Amino acid sequence: MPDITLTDVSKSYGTGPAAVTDLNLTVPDGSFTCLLGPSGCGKTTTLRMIAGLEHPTAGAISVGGRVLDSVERGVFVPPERREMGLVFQNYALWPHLTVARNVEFGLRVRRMPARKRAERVRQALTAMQIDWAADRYPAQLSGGQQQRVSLARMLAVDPKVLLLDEPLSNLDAQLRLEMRAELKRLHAETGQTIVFVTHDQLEAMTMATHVAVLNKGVLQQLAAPMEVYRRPANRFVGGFVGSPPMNLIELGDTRSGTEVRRQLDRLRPELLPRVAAVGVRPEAIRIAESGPADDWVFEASVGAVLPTGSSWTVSVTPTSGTDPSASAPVDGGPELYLVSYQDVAATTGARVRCRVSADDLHLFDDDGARIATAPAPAVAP
Amino acid sequence: MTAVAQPRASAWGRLRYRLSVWRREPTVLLGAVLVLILLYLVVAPLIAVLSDAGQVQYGDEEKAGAAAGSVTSFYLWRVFRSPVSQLLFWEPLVHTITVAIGVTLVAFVVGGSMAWLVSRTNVACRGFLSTALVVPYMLPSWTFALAWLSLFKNDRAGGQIGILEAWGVHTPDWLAYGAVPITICLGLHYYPFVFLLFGNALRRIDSQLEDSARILGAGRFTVLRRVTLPLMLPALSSAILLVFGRILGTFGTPYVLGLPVNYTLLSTSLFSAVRNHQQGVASVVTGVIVLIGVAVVLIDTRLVREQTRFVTVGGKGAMDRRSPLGRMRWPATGLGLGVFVVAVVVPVLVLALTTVTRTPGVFRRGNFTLKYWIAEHLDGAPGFPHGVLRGGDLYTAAFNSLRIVGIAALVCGVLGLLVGYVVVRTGGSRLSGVLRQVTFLPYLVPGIAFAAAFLSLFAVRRGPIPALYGSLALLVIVLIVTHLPYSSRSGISAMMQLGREPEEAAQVCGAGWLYRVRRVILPIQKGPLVAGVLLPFVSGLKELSIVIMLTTTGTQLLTTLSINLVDFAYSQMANAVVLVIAVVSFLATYLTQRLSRTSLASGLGG
Amino acid sequence: MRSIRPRSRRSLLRGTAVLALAGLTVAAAGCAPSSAPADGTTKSDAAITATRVDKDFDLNKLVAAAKEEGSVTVYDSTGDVVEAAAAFTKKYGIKAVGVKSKVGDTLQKMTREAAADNVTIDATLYEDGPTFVGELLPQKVVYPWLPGDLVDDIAAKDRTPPQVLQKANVFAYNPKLYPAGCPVHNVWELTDPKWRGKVVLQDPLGKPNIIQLFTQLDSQGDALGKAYRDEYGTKPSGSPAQEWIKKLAANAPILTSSDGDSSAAVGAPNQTKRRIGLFSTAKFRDVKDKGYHLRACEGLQPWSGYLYPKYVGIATHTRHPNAAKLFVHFMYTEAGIGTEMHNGGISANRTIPVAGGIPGLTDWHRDLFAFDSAHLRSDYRKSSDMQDLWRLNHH
Repeated sequence: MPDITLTDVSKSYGTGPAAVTDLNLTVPDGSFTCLLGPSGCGKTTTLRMIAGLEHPTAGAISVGGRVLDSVERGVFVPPERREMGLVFQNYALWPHLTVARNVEFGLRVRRMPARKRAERVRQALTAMQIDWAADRYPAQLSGGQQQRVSLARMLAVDPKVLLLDEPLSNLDAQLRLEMRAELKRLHAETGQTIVFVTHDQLEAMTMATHVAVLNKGVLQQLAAPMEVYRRPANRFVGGFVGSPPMNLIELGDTRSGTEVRRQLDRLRPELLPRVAAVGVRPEAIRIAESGPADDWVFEASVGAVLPTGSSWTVSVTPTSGTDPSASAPVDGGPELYLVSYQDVAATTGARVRCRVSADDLHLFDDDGARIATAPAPAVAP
Repeated sequence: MTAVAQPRASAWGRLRYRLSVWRREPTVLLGAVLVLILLYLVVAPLIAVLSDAGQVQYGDEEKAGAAAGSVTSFYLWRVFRSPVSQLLFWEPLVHTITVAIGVTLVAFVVGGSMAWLVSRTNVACRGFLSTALVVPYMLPSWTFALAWLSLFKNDRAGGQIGILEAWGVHTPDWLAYGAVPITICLGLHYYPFVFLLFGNALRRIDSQLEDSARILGAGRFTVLRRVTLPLMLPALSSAILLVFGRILGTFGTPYVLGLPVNYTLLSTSLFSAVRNHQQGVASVVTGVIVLIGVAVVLIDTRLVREQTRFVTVGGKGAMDRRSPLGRMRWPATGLGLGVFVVAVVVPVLVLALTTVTRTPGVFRRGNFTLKYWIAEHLDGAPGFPHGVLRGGDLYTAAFNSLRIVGIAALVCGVLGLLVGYVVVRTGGSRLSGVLRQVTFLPYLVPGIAFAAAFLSLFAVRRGPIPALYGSLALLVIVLIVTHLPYSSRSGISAMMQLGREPEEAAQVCGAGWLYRVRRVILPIQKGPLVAGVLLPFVSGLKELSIVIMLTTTGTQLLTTLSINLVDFAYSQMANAVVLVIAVVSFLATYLTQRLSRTSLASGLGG
Repeated sequence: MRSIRPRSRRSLLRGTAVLALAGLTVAAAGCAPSSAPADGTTKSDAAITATRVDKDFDLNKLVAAAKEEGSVTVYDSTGDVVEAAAAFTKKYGIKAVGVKSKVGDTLQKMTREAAADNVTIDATLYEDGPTFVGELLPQKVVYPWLPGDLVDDIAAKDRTPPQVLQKANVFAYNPKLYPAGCPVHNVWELTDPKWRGKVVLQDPLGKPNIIQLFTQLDSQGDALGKAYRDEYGTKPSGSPAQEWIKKLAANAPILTSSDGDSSAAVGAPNQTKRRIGLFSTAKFRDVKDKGYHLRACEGLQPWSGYLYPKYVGIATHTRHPNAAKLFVHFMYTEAGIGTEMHNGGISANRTIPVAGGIPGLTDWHRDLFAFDSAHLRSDYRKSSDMQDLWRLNHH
């Protein structure tokens, strides 16, 4: 099975900070794995190392047991022999060749007979619904169309692994949505292993079967998208995945900090000494008068209501639960954001009661690592 | 998370890994080979030349008081401290710097203003001007000197008197000879560099940048001074570098125009040292010229490095917007045409007139003749007894020129692209830096010095390299080396623009290196390649000093033919050949521009 | 574009490799980088400079052997050599190529060819005696050779090194502007303020021939000293030659880069300036061809100009030794040397009459200063000093 395995892979340029540090990662066969992280986190470097375009300074990369890079053993398989496909961020179509020729290129390299070649080109172009442009030059196509050609070009050679480098970043919103569906369909139809790089967590969530979150060259978490969302491995992941981002409440002297400490003290006193911060997703905060008994409940004043159409994003500032007469935050404790899918009737300055169910509190320790509150379920793609 | 200390790959493992990467990706290997070859072809001759400065040369044993070949400071003394040093070096140094600055200014003012007119205003005849204003570069530089003398020569020089004198207008010495005419003639010859580079940069600047300045209340002039010019600085500095570098080694024009008033530049001083077989002195002077060149490059690098940050600002918003000149449109057009007339029409016309007059400057009916072009038999020139268009000589010479310069230019273009490829692919590494610098080095070495060095270095068999003297290969190699700066500049900038993705895409598709180069890089870079061939071609066609030293019996090129005709005292026919050179290089440029839609500018790396 | 990444191990390694290779290259080049010839022969080696004469010379055998070789290439500094080569081909049916090349270029090329052992120039008719004796002969680039059948017709002084022809540079004036004859009678007059800025000659720093005139005058300047006494009534303070050179240089002469420019400055049809020019008698052909007005300065004391010899040498490593010899032989016959005497000259072969025909110049031997081959070595040694003397005094 052609799993992609990276073992202790490091990459550094000169004496500067390492682009990738001791990366251990297994991309399961047939998965649609997303390398997610902010720019400069080493995700593109990792992808290019898998493709063989960059060379690790240490470690090994193998696909299905075939060693492609091993610095220790001096093994290097050049990109052209890795049987992978790579779609570039800017598509990298060859301007001097027609669309059909672009797609045919890899087949020519493989010395496929002309008739078979034409057939495969047609297939690939049809699959990407771009067959009508076969005789055009890339410059005559729009960005989205070029993207399809670029995909078709890689699909035509039937690579074992398909690598996508920020494939949707140059497209407008509508096209992006279309291409997301397209890629997902592609994956479903071909069962191809796909690794793709993005900084857009929404893209990762919607398309991937596995998400690997990277930060500063270090792997933070590898899990199914919902797992990453539900159980972020650390503060970074929690803050990076989800939109609007997770509310992170330091257990300090702020008002919300005090409030949440009181809640923890009530429910999980044994964990309290280890907890440094609590994360709460905006979607997890409900405005409701009543609910389960173990909910964390706090009073808050509404800062702003931002309707987005399908939902309302509301900024609230907890007021002291014990002193409902306090009309405005005194210490300027952190504002929290919540997302409501029902019309929030309140206006700025209004007072509301917020509830968060106990399961929705993410506890992080001093190092930012997640504190398990319940046994984590097995990763299920 | 911090990196945990783990058993690291052994040095041996890493080396093996590196080696197998290199084996698969010839970029580094190619770069190393290129560097090696270039070090041998560029640095070795330079060392050969410069080392003569410290060794007693054959024939100087008595003066230096030591045996030939032994170490001496005699030449340094002679050039820097001896009684003749003032004439040999110090005066020429001052003159050189004066002229270089003057020429750069002329080139900057003429080229810059013309570039602005053509690319940023609605001046009339833009299409015509943009082609026509480049023509001066296609004329051999001595054309201007010749035209100047034909017009302004007075009785301080030999030969025919100038047209003005013939009409009774006395021209003062300062106007006829020395710094002023040298500056103007070279300025007119080299302003196209500035024109091309500047025009390209101006077109690329985002006019929104200027608009926003205008919106903020800046006047037109302020915008020019505070926004446009600073943005142009890299192009400006690059153009100045190119012009300055050329002037240091140019000797034809300064010699002809400086001789009557004893105005010597370093290049003429070098020229006379070479001609008088004073290798030691020649080598010291060469060293100084190279040093000045290197200093200019360093200053340029520093300037550009500071400015690079905002060069790329252009981008998507860049548009070709022309500001209306209003009432100034026609005067401005007149100015553009005026430059064309002064820089092209007058010299060419003067040149053409000399080819159809028996006695130059005399415009009487009986004095006109076409015999120098088409006569079947001419008396008095045993070596060339017929009009230039008769007999096979002109055609043979033209064919030789096209063949030799053509091959050299072709190799140059390909090599330039390869250099660009390696520089970009190994970007930031030391290899890339070395390659970049080594390929530019020949620009700073005067052609005669190079030719002399090649003669001494490759006259005998050295290691695996056979004695190349007397083979055309040597001529081709020297032409390649001396013109490599142009094509490598254009290669680097072209590869810079292309980026590495198109090649990587092919690589991922399974294409090996040769296949990628053949099917992806070369076809995509066809335009820049053509430009990288064209510029060396145009400048190689005019090349004389190198060619004259290295051509062998029976290989007549257009330039040597022209010089031979001068020696036969047929200046009419010599000028006719110069016209032919100008026509050939103009046609070559025009055709390639038409066919491949590339411009000479991209050949300059602009 | 100029982003500078901190140096990585990889580029360090590369850098080291590149540096090492560079070092090797430089070392390889450094081993023999000088363009100075390897053996610094300075001793006047009689064995080398002695002219070879084939004792049992047989022209028929030579012609037969030359025909075997098929061709010969000769360099000369006059375009007449093209005609000479054509005449040679016509006479013997052997392909001959005559190439006009400046003396300095010929010296360079022949020296390099000899070093490269790739000789294409088989023989040279060479006008610069000092480097002929100072470089070409001692470095064995060429060897001196004379045909045995003609050697007796050549004066002994012209045999070492073998001289083939003497041509003349003369002081000339414009007879249209000076119908009464040459305006000067003594070369010292040319150094007087009256002639300031009016004497035309080629830039001595670009013309070895004029520098050689200066060094020869320095070695045999008695006549010049006598002329000084005739002119000024006193003896010159130092060497008369150096005095004359200094004063001439200081008198703002008009310098040109070619004899063509010099002659035009004196006698072009539309020339109105009154000048005296020093240039080759070859330029007198323009009198006929282009309507120039030129006449040699008749009666100029101590001489109207000077004779400069042309020597002949055969490339030591020529691939056409016999054809080259045959060509040299040819150039000692009237059929050969005649091609180069259209505008005057004295063949070294005494049986060939002097070619005159230069207006104003009646007796070449009497009116012209002749170089002495015995001084060639000292000419060679003194040439750069003489250049400096000129340079320092030229205004």
